[in-house]
Amino acid sequence: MSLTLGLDIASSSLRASAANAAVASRNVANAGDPSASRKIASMAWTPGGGVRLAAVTRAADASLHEKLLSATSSEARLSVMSRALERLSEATGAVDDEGSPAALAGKLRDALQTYADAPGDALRGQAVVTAAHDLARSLNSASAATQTARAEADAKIAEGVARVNELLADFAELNAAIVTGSRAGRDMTADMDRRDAVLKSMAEQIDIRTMTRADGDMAIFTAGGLTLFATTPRTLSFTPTPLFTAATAGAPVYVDGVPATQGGPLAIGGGAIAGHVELRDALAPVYQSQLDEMARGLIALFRESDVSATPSQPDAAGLFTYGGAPAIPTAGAASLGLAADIRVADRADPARGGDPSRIRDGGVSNPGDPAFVANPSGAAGYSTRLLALIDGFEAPAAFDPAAQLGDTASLLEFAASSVGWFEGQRQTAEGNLEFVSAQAQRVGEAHANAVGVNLDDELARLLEIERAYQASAKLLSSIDSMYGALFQAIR
Amino acid sequence: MTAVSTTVLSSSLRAIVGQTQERILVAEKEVASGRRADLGLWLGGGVREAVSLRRDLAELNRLRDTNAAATVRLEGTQAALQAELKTAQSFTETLLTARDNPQSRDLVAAMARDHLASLIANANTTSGGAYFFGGVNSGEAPLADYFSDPASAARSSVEAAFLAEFGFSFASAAAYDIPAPAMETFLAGPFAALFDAPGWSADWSRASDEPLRIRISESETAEIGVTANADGFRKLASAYAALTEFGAGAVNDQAFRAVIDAALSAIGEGVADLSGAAAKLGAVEERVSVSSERLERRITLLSARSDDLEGVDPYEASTRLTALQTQLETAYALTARLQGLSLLNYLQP
Repeated sequence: MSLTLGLDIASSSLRASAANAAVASRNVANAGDPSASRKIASMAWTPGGGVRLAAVTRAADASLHEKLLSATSSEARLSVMSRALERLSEATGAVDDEGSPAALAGKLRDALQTYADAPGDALRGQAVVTAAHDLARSLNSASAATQTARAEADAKIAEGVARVNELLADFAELNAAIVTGSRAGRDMTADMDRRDAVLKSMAEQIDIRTMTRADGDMAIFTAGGLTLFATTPRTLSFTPTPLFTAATAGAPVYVDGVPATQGGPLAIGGGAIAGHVELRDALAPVYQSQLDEMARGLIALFRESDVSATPSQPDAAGLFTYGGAPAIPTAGAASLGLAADIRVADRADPARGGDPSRIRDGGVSNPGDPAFVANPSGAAGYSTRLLALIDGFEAPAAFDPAAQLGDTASLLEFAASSVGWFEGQRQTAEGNLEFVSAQAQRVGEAHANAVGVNLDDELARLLEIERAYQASAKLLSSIDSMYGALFQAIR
Repeated sequence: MTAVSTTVLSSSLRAIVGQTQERILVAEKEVASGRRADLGLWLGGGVREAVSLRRDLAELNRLRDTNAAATVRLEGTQAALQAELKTAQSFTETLLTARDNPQSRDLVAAMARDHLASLIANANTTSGGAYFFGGVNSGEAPLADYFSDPASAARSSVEAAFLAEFGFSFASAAAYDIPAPAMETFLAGPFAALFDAPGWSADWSRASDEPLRIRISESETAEIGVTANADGFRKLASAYAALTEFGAGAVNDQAFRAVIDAALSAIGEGVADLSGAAAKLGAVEERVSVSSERLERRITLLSARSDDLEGVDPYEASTRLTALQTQLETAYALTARLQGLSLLNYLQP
């Protein structure tokens, strides 16, 4: 042991304290950054007994981080769905609004009831036409809103795909830097933090799993198992569809050339992209088919039959008509997009040269053909057809089970069930979102607590470092005075 | 060592404050309106029931309104029938007296003329443009004015029938020689045929035999069956017309009695028929009123259920609001307290 050695050790201690202080102040500076992790300075003994900074590492918890990514994806997916359903609910007037198709179908029935009470009153006939217009328009606008929601979802999918591709490029750059830096033994903790932040942003769009390899290298897969990054980034590709109708099917998202939005084990199951896909390909089409079936039910209810002694003509569309009139549309594919197409026949509409009394008498389909007129004398008190129409609203009819509301219901019940179905979806999405959000928050907190910075902790450590620094400095000055005594003695 | 991350410490409180504020907004809305702030979210699939209830309530209210209108119409019809019955019954007494006092024949003829006019007016009772006795053809007056100028089809037919039977018009002096049996034969034959269903529809009535049908509850319809084509109207019209046309003037006393007898028997039949029609009408009135009462009860019931579904217990909502306010205040207080809790504040520079 020599004084020189003591001096060396004391000065290494000073350097170590400075390095420690630098790390602590980095932690303090990043205390407000939620993506920054706590940096830890690791010390090592030098051969002579001194200390040196061996490496700067960071607090990390791989399993919590993985959970955080998965919770982020679930939350993003559900929040997308819940928001979209809420917007669609406002646009189609689901419950509180008196303008929903279900409410307006009831109003049309009530207008018919008023008309049937005084079938000679032209004003009441006019009121029926107005109610019919309102109903047809509400179906048109609900259908339009549904397709707009699909188009918006499609655009959002395109945005999400572009964002993931950007993030994959960023990730590739950071990952390469980390691998090279780690091999060279440099401090790569800041880059690792940034890489984790990139992963979290990516998880908001798509559900991912990560795998850590040697030298801090990392690979990314979708939760379904498709590779997103392994030494090189793969691409997500997607062709947006500009215009949606009921018959439009949205394009799939391809991950590394594999279609990943059409169900099955490979499908993307989380993140905003999954939420938008679910809305575009599952929820909105079912709602559209419910609207279409409602429109078909209305056309069928108001159809006119050949009432002559020997009926020879097929039924024809009456008050409610559509592009394919006079034929009555059949259930299933034939009714696709009917809600956008349904309208009130001009021949019943006084504003377009029609006559509302044809609703009472029959003959909207073809006033010139007596076979369709049930009240040939035009008697003002004739209410038989109106009463039959009123009863038709509550009579059981067949509906397409693909609309998910069963196969038999009355028109009014079908309309009410549609509202119930929609709000049920909304309630489920909202309830799941609440649960998943709470979970995501807890996981986020646990992760932040595990890897984050506590200011008080850092301040306490700074005090320790300060004491160590003071002690080392004192040691230096003591050794210095010893050398002084020695040199004095020599002189 | 487990430490709490400083960002978590501040952000978790921030999240609580945000959530609480959102809930306060909902609670405020519910306290103010007494209804769920977001019904769809609250009921989910149960919204179906709420929508059905609203629709049913609208229908019941509408039926209540149309029933009220139907009641007015039925009462008007009933009043017209009762007026007609009363006139006919009191006229019977007049006729019985007049039968033995042929000198009062001018008075009887004048009264019959008035009664025929009022019969036509009653059959043409209308409200809001709809004729009560028109059947489904409610847009046209069922009976034309008998005394119009130029002569109505009905009156011309009566005169033509007389001319065809006797070869001279009633106004001619030859009418004095018509024997009572010939008069009886005429009244029971060609004259009565004018008031049979085909003749009546040709000359007198534009009413339809098809009854008016109205809907009086969700599942019931009622028919208003009495029209101007009812037997009673035809019989009374034939009695009044016979007396108007052949009661006064030149006929001898025996023939006059034959006219009175024919009229009496027609009035008797007419009164019997119209009484039956009035009773049937009364039964319909009763059904409408029973149905209206049931509608009222259903409306009360459904409204209560609807309120159950959509309404908010105001006491619960305001208690919730108070609790949330307390929670928010606590969160604020905690934030302020935590702000002071830092080692920094206790370290001497």
